[in-house]
Amino acid sequence: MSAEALVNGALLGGLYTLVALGLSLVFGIMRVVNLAHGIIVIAGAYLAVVITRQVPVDPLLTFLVVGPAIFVIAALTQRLLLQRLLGQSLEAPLVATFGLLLVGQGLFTFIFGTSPLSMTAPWAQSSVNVLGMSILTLNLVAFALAVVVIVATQLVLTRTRFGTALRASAIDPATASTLGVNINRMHALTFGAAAAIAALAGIVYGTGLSVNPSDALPLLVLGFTVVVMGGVGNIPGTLVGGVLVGIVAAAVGGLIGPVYSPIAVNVLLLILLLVRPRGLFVRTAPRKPRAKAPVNEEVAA
Amino acid sequence: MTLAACGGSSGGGTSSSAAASSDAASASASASETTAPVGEPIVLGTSLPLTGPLGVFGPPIQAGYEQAVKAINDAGGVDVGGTMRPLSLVVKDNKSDPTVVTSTTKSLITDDGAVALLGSVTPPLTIPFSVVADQEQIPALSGLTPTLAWKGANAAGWKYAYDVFIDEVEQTTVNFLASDLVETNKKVYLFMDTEEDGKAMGALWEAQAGKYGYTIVGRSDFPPGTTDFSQFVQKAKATGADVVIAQVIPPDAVALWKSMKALKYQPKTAWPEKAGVVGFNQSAGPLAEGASTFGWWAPKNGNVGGQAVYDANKAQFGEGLATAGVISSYAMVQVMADAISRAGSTDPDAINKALGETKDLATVLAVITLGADHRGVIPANAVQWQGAAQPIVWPADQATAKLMAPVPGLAP
Repeated sequence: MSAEALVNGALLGGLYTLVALGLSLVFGIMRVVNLAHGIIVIAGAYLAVVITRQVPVDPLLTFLVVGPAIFVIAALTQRLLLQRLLGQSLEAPLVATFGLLLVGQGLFTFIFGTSPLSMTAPWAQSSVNVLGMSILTLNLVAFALAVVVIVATQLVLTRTRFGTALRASAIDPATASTLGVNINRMHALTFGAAAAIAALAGIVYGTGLSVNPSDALPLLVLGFTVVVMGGVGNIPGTLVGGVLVGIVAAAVGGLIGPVYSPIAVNVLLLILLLVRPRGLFVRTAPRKPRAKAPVNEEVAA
Repeated sequence: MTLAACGGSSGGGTSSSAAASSDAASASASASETTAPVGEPIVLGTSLPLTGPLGVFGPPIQAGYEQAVKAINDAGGVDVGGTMRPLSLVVKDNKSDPTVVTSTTKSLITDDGAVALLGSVTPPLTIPFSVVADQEQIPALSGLTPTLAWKGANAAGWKYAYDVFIDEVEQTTVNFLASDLVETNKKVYLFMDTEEDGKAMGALWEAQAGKYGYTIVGRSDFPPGTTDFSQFVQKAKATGADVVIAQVIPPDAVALWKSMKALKYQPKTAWPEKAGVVGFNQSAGPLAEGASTFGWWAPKNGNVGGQAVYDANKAQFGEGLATAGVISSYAMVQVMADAISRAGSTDPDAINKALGETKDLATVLAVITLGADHRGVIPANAVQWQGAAQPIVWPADQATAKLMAPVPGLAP
């Protein structure tokens, strides 16, 4: 195993981060396990495929259209479907998002078939020499995007009034509501923003690799893995989780063989769940339990 | 036997004489001259990968089955003991999932009353399909699964399941013999996935290389769904191998090819086997140019009516192996219908016995004989993605284009 392999693996973790971030946001703020997250990633990729077939532009530029489009669709879905279910039971949103996953898979299979499709971009088919190492440009782009999105998300959450309201709605929705925070609106915006980030991940994924409807489930699993490693709702932790998955996969692939990479990632996940059940970078619960301690305080961190 | 529509003809042996037309198109055209089938439909069941990672293979297979069934029915159906009976095809989606193959195949038998089964593609799907056929004692015929891996999955020998396709020993010579068309350093790097065919084919390429003067200089094995191939591509590049052979599913092949392109690794010949067979030009875009794979149908391989089926489908499935997949599937219906007709009954045991006696049956695919090991081996060739088509580049007597090398799609 070479340093080059580790660096490429770590940078590819940026793509994993992009895939996972929306999942973390939605769970952290809305307390909803969004099983449709993978299909949203796929939706972003397919929409970009459609656009690039009509207009020969760099796939990343399609985000200017794909991002807002997916944001609106997702926000509407949240308001019209999930919002109505949130108060019903814990299972209802879970089942609903699973239904969305199945509907999405069926829809995309009907429209695009099951053959993988991919987009062409110079950055997905080139590499650069850094300190004697060949680094895939795809990995650099994915990592740079992940850092930008993570920093932007963290800044919005911690440095803006909107972010303050969002955190308040996550920590104590009832109190936030009495203080004038529109919880439903916050949830819709969160779901929309998470979907837009997922769509960006889809564009990178569909350009660097390929896209087909059956990718939705593996992407969801990948997202969960990264989120759990970084800590649910921990935004910077998502980046660390993504990078960790990339490094472990590359290291084990190089040292033992790629057959063992997914096994190693899953074993690491299990160990972390045992040792740090709230993720690597979430502070453990205080020794003296506080009354009505918010379970999702990390979102506001 | 009366099997007017399928273009099949028995060359002797235990197959009875066929009122076969010279090709499928003319046979279909003559349908108006025949009487419509009157008997109870004969249910044929098939479990296909219409979705999932192998979903790209489902539509051409389904098309072949449906077209053959229609042609046979249009020409009067199948003569079963003096009664002309129509064929009825039931299709279920197995989602490319072996466990779903098992459940859907059982459902075809118990819920839909299938008296014979038609298979799909690749050992991971065809083996569980064949297991169900043997368990339920229903004759089953597959037309797109390498026969040795399929045969090896049942050491005791298949009883009701049959497989008509290339023999992997022969298939794994194609890469070397076709690579001989250009000057290479005879070094080969293997990228194998961990599915049954990846393991089996990898071992065969390793075993065969030396016989043809090639050396396997490296091999990487990985699970389906791998996204980061960079360090393994670097390893392959470091060996200087002029020939790359990859036995991987389509999404992985796209990822691998993009990684090779990004890392400026341009072999003389590159073989995305399995993945490159169907739709690779759409999946990988310009990178697919020059990717080669084995093929299994050629206009001049002794088939009867294959060109008509090819011409009728090339607009939809392209000039290449997807359309050859239609032909293979079409031929499986021909073989099964021939067996049912010779059995004179829809009793599964009678059909199974007749199926096992299939000998020198001229179909749209090739002349087919099913051996004692339940395999029907057809010859392999080599095709290469050139634009949107896959012309045959080897062997010379069947070639329709010249092999392009080094692989243009991977040019730095």
